Amino acid sequence: MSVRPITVKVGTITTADGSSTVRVGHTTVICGIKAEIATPVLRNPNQGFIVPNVELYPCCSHMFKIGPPGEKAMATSQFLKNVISSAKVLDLTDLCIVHNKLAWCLYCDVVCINYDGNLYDAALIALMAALQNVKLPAVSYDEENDKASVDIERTLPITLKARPVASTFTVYSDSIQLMDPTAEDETQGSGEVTVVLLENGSLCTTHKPGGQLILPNILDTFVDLAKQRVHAVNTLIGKEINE
Amino acid sequence: MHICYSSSKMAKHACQLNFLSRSDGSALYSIGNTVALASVNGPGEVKKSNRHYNRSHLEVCYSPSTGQSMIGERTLESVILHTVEQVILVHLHPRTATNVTIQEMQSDGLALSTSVNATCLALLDAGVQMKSPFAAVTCCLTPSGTIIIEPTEAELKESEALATFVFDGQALNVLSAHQEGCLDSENFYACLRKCQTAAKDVLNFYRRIMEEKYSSDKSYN
Repeated sequence: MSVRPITVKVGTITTADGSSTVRVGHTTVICGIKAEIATPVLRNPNQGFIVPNVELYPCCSHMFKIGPPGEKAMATSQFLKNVISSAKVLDLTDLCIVHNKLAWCLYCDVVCINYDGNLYDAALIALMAALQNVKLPAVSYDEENDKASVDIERTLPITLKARPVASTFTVYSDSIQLMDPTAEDETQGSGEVTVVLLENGSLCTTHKPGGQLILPNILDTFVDLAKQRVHAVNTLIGKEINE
Repeated sequence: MHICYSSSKMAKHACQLNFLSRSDGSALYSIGNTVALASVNGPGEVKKSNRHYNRSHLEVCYSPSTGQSMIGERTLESVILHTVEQVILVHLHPRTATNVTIQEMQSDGLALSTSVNATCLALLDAGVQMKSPFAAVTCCLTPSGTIIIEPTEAELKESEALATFVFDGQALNVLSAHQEGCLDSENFYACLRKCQTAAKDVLNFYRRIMEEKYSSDKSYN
């Protein structure tokens, strides 16, 4: 099965703490990450936050209207949140600055500017690339005066514990499945299946919301194809980060 | 009105059909301590903006037991909508709408599978034409490697990963799949097989309920 070419560029938004622009064929997704200081919740006093949010504006496709986030945007946001927590991409305790007082909150805004299918894959690649581009400034906390001061000059990247990669397939019938569907494939097909794998080949998330019935052995084929994609995508992101 | 209980191999399933008198079909379904009430109305009137020339418009509304409906509930609605869309014969009723409303009564971790099963029985109770019934089964993987079918909230907290599968009634093929947490390939397939076997019991349970509903020695009003 053939897939569309992927282009990744990091650091495209200079005002954000981390950013990336990803193209999967014609689907273009931008991710911008802003780090803000917040108070940890009482239940987890040593954990920071990571908040992914996906926006689909009318500019990217005629399918989306102006107004509150629609179903696709919410489903993609929840998908990203699910992948981050399932794969344990970040150790949230790494985002804590001072126990019970200060922690980093990473607001990740993923915006699609051109929708040509396969949003899940593109959004996850963009999010992972942007996370690897984030540089958090050093924070010093003065206990006596209860004041935090941020030193913008000294910045450290965050360590990612896992690099999940998503692969989406459209199922047409029992015998026809397509990998990396375009928008036209999605409208003509009978449902998508997304499989997210980690670098070691284990399944991090499977997302199949309804759609054509599939036999379990077809899932097998998808997982095998997804394994090849994991390596290709992570090498591409790694190359971009190092430049 | 009647209540049926399933066999004791899995968590106790119980169901009461036609729970609401004003809906076309309704089902109060529970798996262990998770209880969901599904109500189906339709096919019926549709707004002009939702009118499709060749099919019925489907809407799913999920209300949690506490708090406001947020993004988690919206995704649950989306999953149930796409599952149900595949099974209902929507092309038989053009320019109509079918509403499914699910109210979570009690939560013990199995919200998705209880809601899906309640929806299936509510659709059967309403008499909406479907290709086949569908059954959802949730399982979780503990750190020690055991797979538990239909875990409680406490068991879910301790588990490493959970997976929910929805199977169709004819060939037990996978209709929907939702997974959280990491599973390697062999654990994933082991979960899938176990859930497939459990789904047979759920489908038998549906059959018993429907048989009781239509049994001739009961006067059904």
